[in-house]
Amino acid sequence: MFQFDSINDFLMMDGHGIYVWACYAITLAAFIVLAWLPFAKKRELVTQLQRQERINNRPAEVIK
Amino acid sequence: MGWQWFHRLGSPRWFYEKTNEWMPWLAFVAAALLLVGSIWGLGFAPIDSKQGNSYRIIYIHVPAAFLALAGYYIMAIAGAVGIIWQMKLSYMVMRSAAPIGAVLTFLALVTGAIWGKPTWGTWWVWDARITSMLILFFLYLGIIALQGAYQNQTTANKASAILALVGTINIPIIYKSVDWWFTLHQPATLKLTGESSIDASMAYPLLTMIAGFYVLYIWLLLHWTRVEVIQSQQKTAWVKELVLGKK
Repeated sequence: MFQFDSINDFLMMDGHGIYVWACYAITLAAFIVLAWLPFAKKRELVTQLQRQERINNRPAEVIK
Repeated sequence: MGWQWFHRLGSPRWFYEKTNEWMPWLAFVAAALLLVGSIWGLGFAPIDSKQGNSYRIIYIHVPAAFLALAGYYIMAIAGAVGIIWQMKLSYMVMRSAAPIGAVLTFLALVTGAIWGKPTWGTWWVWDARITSMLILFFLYLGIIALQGAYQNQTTANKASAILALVGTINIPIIYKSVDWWFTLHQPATLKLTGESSIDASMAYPLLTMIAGFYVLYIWLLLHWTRVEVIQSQQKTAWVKELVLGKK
């Protein structure tokens, strides 16, 4: 059974809404950061390795 | 033959390839459990007779604190395995567990503070449970800092593992703090043995959230460790093949 009479009631939670929703928002934000960081690090690594590979494959006369 | 799995487990490449197929499933299960648990806890679990709706913070606070503690054990055990068997992969798990654990501890502290305001009338008290949780947060930060403090990776790993192992003393103190000292923090709601002090209608969404946090933790730990593997193995042929997409 849904515990609230209306969506507004659900958001307000008798004055406790701000506390409850703040907790959920902070947690969601933290999870997004935790999930995103390794992807960013991996992308950076891949770019770096690709650049390295291009330098390695360059014709010999270009490198002096 | 019996030990083959153990040596395989120590191979970063085997780990990377093996976990590849697990990742989407873990992410899916975690998201489903957290979504169901949140909707259930926020909208459908009954209102608390004493705390009103503010108690709904429990559905984040308790799972976050739970995993902050469990994650510390995982990190310390990974560090011990790294020291004993010189297993590089184990150190990678330890290094990955530190920032995830720090964030979970931070979440437990912050949601606790926000919950404290409407129920206790204060954001913060220097009570045994809260202070020992703050120490846990600093232990996690200490391990992250130690990783950056040494030029030599092996030395950094050993130092972090030793700090992690010494810090495990704090975990039973956190668990028992609400019984040993007079604290403002309420005693354990869920008990493995004996009767829990929570009604089933509130306990089921809580258990769903704990399960969701667990699966999410496993996903995050693997996710972070996999990138550690790529970084540390970037000179090997298999990583180059993987990253540059050629034989």
